[in-house]
Amino acid sequence: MNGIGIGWRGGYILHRRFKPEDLVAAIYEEEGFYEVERREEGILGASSRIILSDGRRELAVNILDEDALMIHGAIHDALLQAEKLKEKYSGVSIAIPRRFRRAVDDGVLSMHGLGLIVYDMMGAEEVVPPKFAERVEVMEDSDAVMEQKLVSIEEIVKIRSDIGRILRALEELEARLDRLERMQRSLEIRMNRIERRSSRVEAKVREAPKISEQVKPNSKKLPSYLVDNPWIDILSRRE
Amino acid sequence: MSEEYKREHVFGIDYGTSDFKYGPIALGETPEVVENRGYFVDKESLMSKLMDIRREIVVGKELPLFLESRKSLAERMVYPMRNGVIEKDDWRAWRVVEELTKYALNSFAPRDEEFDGFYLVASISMVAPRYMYEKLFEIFKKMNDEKTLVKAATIIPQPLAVAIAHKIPTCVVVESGHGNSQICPISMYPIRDAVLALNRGGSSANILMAEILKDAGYGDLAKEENLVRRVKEEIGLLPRDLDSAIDYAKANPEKVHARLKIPGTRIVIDLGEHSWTRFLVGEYVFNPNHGIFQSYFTRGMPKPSDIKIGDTFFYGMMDMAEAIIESVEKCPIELQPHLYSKILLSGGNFSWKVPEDLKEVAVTSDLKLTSMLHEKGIEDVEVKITEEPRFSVWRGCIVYGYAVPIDYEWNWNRMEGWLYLA
Repeated sequence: MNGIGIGWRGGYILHRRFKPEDLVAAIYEEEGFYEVERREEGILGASSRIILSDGRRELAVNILDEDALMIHGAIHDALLQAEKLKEKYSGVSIAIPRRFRRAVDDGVLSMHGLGLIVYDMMGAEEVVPPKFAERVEVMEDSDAVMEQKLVSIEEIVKIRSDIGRILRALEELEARLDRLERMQRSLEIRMNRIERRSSRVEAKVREAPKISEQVKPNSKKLPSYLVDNPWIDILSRRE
Repeated sequence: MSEEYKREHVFGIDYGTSDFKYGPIALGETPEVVENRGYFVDKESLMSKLMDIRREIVVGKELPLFLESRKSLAERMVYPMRNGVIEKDDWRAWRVVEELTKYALNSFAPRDEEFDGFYLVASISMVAPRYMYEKLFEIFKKMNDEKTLVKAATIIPQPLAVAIAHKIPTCVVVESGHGNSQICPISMYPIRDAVLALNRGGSSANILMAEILKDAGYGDLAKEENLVRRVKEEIGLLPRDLDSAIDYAKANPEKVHARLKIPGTRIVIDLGEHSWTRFLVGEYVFNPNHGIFQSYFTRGMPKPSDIKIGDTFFYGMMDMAEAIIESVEKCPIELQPHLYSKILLSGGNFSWKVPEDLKEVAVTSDLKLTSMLHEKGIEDVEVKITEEPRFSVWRGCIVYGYAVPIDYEWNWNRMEGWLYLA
């Protein structure tokens, strides 16, 4: 875990809207990481990227915002790009808006050593901690490097199959959302019909007040000019 | 405030030209009636000092108790609605209207705590200009100065109230009052563009009756307006055809002989050889164009002239049938047959008596008008005299207030709805 735990950090309940980069950087601050680089443009597979360092290790976080995730396959692209970053940085994480949390499988990310951060307007949360690599040692042993590269290719294949699974899950979610939207529309139509019907009933009741019902119990007889007077109906419709 | 509360507290007021009819729905079939007039008390007079009268104006049933000399009667008695229209700056007339309204509402205002004002439906002449509506609403608002008497108010034209009271949604209402007559086609709403007014009413017949009395030797009595009106109502006749009626009267003088004793007095009026003139009184209301009236005009009797009051033109000499046709022809052609098929005659001016032995020559107003319209080529006509014409406007007010929903608020364009005042 490298000392970076799961959960809320430092009570980052915010009263004003922070940038996702600030939210993500904030959760690592207590662990002694500080921001060394921030790029908001020209990032492959992400909306922005921040590089954090504790002086010994460097953590790259690719941040995806909601707009980026609206593009078909964005999440897969983000994972592939993150995977590539592992060669360069000690640890790599991706940060996504909380509502897309279910689009990513924790187990798969954990298996590949990638970290996962989710965020929303209330703050950020580290869901899967990144696996930090001891790059210096690894680089010294070229055989081991080759071996790791081979492993990485295998891993990529696996990630692809995982991505396929994620895609299917997303398609299923899309289909469910479509169904829900259709149901909502049909409910709205039914509600409108019921409302119109009830207002017609109300109008009818108002249009034709029954004189006999309006007679007070103690009144013996209505004046002759009120009985069967068509004007009662005509005038009660004035609106 | 609920519909139920409104229905229990509808209050109708008919500002008629002669009588002021008022009362809540609880009165049932008939309203209270007082004369539409007010008497301005002379505070300097000995009588008012002796009786410690502090009021400026007296209205209602106790009014006769305050009357002084005949001279002061003419100066101090005000009949505000004589023409159906009150001049904007006629402050005395407006004061009488205010006092009568207060008198009416106070007479019936319940004392219980739940009472939160009446839903007042007032009815005025069809030809009343907009400022009259504004002034009346001001008066109604003033009624709430001391305690809430008027929750909401509305004003409707008298012909509409008549149509409502008679349960007829499509018709022509001919309302003939003291000073003028109004012809108003109605089809669910009053058709304001087709309204036509005549500058003739009960007062025109009174003027002719006064001339007849003068000719018969009762010049002194001819000055008493109420007496003249009473004589007109008792001995005036409406001829089927004037020329034939005069011929009949001259041939049968004993049958048309008019003699009237005024109850409670020593006055006896006998028209004697002038009794044939009884037929002139009714005819004059329906058609003043007969040559015989010319002699009265030349002797100084004022000829009904064409005048403009407010925004309305009042025709002086147009006969009643012609006026109805002109009014109906302003309505859509499709509607015209329906309008001719229900003509309602309202107002005391249409209540002409037909003595049993004069049925050959004297008729009721509906028959007279039917025959006049036939003469002008209108075939399918049904003319009806309103039942209890005195009360029909008030009854229409009650029905209107009972039925119109509480959330239908007053609108100056359509001139309808409730204006909330409390």
